Amino acid sequence: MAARVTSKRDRTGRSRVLTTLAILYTVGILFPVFWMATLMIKPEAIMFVRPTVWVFEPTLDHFAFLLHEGFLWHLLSSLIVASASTLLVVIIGTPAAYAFSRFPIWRSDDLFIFILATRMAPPVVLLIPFYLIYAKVGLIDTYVGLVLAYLTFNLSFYVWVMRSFCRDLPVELEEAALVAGYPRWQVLLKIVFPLVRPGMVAAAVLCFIFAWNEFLYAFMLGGDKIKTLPVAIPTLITTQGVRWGEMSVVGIVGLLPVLAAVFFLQKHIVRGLTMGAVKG
Amino acid sequence: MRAGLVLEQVDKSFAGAKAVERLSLEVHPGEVVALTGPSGAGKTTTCRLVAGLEYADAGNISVAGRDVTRLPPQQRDVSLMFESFALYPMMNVADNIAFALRAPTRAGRTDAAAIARCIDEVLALTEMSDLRERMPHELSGGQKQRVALCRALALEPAVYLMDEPISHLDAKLRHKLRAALRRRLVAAPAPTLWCTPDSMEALSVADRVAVLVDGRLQQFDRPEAIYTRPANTQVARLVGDPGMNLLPGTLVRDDGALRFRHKEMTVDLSDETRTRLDASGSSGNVVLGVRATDMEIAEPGAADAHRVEVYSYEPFGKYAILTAKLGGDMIKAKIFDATHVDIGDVLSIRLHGRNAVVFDAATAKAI
Repeated sequence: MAARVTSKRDRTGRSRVLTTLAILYTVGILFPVFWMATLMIKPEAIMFVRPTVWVFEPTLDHFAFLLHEGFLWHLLSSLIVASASTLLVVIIGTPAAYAFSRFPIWRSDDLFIFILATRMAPPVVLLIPFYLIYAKVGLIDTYVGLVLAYLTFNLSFYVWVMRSFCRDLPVELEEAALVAGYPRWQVLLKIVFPLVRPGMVAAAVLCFIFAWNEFLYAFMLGGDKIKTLPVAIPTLITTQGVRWGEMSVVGIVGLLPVLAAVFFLQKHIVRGLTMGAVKG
Repeated sequence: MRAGLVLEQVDKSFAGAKAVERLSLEVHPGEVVALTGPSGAGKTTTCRLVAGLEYADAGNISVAGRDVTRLPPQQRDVSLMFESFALYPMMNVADNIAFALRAPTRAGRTDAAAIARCIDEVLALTEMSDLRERMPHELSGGQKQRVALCRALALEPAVYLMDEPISHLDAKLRHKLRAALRRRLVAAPAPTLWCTPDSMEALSVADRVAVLVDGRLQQFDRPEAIYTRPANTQVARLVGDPGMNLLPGTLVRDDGALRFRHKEMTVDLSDETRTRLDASGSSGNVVLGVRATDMEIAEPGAADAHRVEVYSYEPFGKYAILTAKLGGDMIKAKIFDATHVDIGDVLSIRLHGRNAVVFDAATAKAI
């Protein structure tokens, strides 16, 4: 009895230590974000003075500069490219993943590895061919071009993840609906998609974040008329110096959709990872 | 084309292994045919062939006078209850039941009020009325099975296919539902195929019973005939609780009487059996099938009884099952007088030949 009490106390003690460590780690990780957030509203003059000024009169100058420079437009570009490519990935990838998991496709495993292989090469390897092709067909510096480029990367990832989700669905559910008198497309709509939705959401969020953060392709294939946020940030490194305040604003704004997506969809992502629990 | 469900010479194999072989069955409207057999016998495959979830390699299937052999499942108008239930996890009980009723192929046949009435009725039948809003993951295994059953019963299809419809229910509810289900299915204008590995369930619910072993139809007859005159030793072993005792031996005729001679004993056979055997003209090596109920414990030393050593004894209350060694063979007897017996006891057992079935030792078929 006494031993059990001690061990219980040990356990709470250990968990307290672990919690403290976790908090310290989180603070360490989040400090740069906090620092960036203060730079957003810190006047240029006191930005890097030593000792650090913690209390200051906030300024909106950095925001004004960005608006003047048309950064809203870049934000919109980022949103368009990331959303459109993600939407297309979901529309094309979900039926593809379903087909891979259910139907006897000729050399389906080979085909699948082939799809996955597009993800195995480092992205930079494919950049030159992409550029040459795009230059020929006039897709350089267009939304369509960037969306297509991200589609090729995300589609393979999405199909790969969703195939295993579809595979885990008991096939009897679909058979029951077929026998009940529903055509195949309605079975997909009414039975399959609602059940794989957690997986779809989780995979789509990851695709969105990839497209949102991507720099290399956005820089090489766009970068002039179409500038996404990651591409726009380096323009803040000017001959007159680095505009740290503006950069922080863009950094924080760039972080927001990703954070929002993760917070709102957290439930789906967690459910998505435990999807195997679905039983007929 | 005949009404009801007709299977003609249906073949189906999976990766070279025969699942169903030249299966012919006919189920009349309003008739319940039980398909029984050990697991892997092809019961589920037969259901799936009729439902259109598998296509026959050869042969024909027709439902209500319509050849459906090549039709997709949506166009067959069957009601299939899955052994694995296959409840839609994102729908509650009522929606699960209504799903098929709302199918496009039934558009215009049922309005919302009729669907609601139908759900109420089948839920009441299976004693599930208070669970209509529950989600499948909130139900126990038996409740899930009843929802699956409701889903199948709610329809008015051209044929009902029940794959082990009551196997996961507790014994009390199973007995109750068995009778209620049979009443309902017999009253319906559609034929029913009821699959079950439990041969006694098959006998109790069906108008006719089809015994399937290794994808082949062994016997298709009325329950009484399946029980009293099994067509071969496989059926004899499978049907009954416990199955028939099968004893190898020879037939002996002396002045008109027919006897079965086992290496440990002889059994007098009935005149009816003799007439049948005389007609077939067979003699020589046979297997004698004796029901467990045709045995009783005799007083020690009785002239017409045989000494056996008790192997196991299972008292079930109003009867007990006694397994004993008779020579090299094991026999099972259903004993109705409650005397306690211990393992290893030596008893006298009397076998009655009046209901015995004689099988040809070479072909295993009943003579």
